[in-house]
Amino acid sequence: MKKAPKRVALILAVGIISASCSTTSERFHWGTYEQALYIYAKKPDQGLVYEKALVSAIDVGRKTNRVAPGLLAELGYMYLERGDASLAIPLFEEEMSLFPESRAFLNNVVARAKSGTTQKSGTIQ
Amino acid sequence: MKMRFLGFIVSALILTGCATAPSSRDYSAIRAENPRSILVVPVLNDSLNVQAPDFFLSTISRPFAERGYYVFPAHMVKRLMEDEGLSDPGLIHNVDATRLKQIFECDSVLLVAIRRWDSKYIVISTTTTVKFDYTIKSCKSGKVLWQNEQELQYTPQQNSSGNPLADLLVSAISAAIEKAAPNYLPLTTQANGLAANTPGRGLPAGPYLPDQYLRDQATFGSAQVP
Repeated sequence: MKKAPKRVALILAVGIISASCSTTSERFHWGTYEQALYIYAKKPDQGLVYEKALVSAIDVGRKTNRVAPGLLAELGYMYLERGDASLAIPLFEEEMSLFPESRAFLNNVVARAKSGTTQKSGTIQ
Repeated sequence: MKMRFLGFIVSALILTGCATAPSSRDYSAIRAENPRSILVVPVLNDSLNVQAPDFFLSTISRPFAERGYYVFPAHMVKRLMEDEGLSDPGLIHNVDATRLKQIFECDSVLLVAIRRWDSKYIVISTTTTVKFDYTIKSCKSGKVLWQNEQELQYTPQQNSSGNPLADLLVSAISAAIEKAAPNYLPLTTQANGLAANTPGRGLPAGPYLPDQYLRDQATFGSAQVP
């Protein structure tokens, strides 16, 4: 628990340094999405780190019209995995309206969430 | 008088391997389809690091989305594919890409193979290397639309204190630290950025970069790069 913030700070510092070398300004706002997903991938009990990173990246993205592709769906899926379809569905719908390319895929996810088969099912279609 | 090296203030990041030989790319296939979306599927792993694919996944969406494409939610897709019994990268990389269209309605799929992801300790220095192959296939036709590869290396460098013995010790410690906790994440981030952005071999701009979309033939043209 104590070690994690330090590690995050280090990863962030390195990330900022390497980002400053290459990028000018980004089309989308990612916040700490990458670092948080890395931590979550390393430690599956760190879902909260990922969730918080998504919430704050989306928050800033909404204000600046730069919500990054996938983040709303990722957050929705975190809620869905917890069984909270009522929080998840509006996020999927927001992703679909910002990025119509996701519509066919997420419509299926939403339909399944509404019918209560939130996690597993035979086919996605 | 001591000869002093003032080159490096902090242990500097030396990134080498940026200069992959500029080979010409043929953009006619991707220009013919102009995909709007990219599905990232489980990564093929040739390295000995079993965690590499999971770590890699956290760095892949951003650089490709920043090229102007809708990149499907990578982690969510991974979970759903596991549920569908499609989590085996060997299987997915060989499956007809048009099958993925039925599920995700994706325009294209990005297949990544991790060729190297290792940290080698040689005497008193450690070199960390990542190497990736990238292939984008059409979900409509199954054809290869774009391919690239990227290798990057990192070796921590120490500033000299003027005392060779002390330097040796510091180098050994820094090499040991790099060996224990290699800097894969920044290296991978940089590699993906170069793979997606480098003129002449990166990815043409997608629809979410309206200023460049369909107008960047000079940078990512079908014309052969010399």
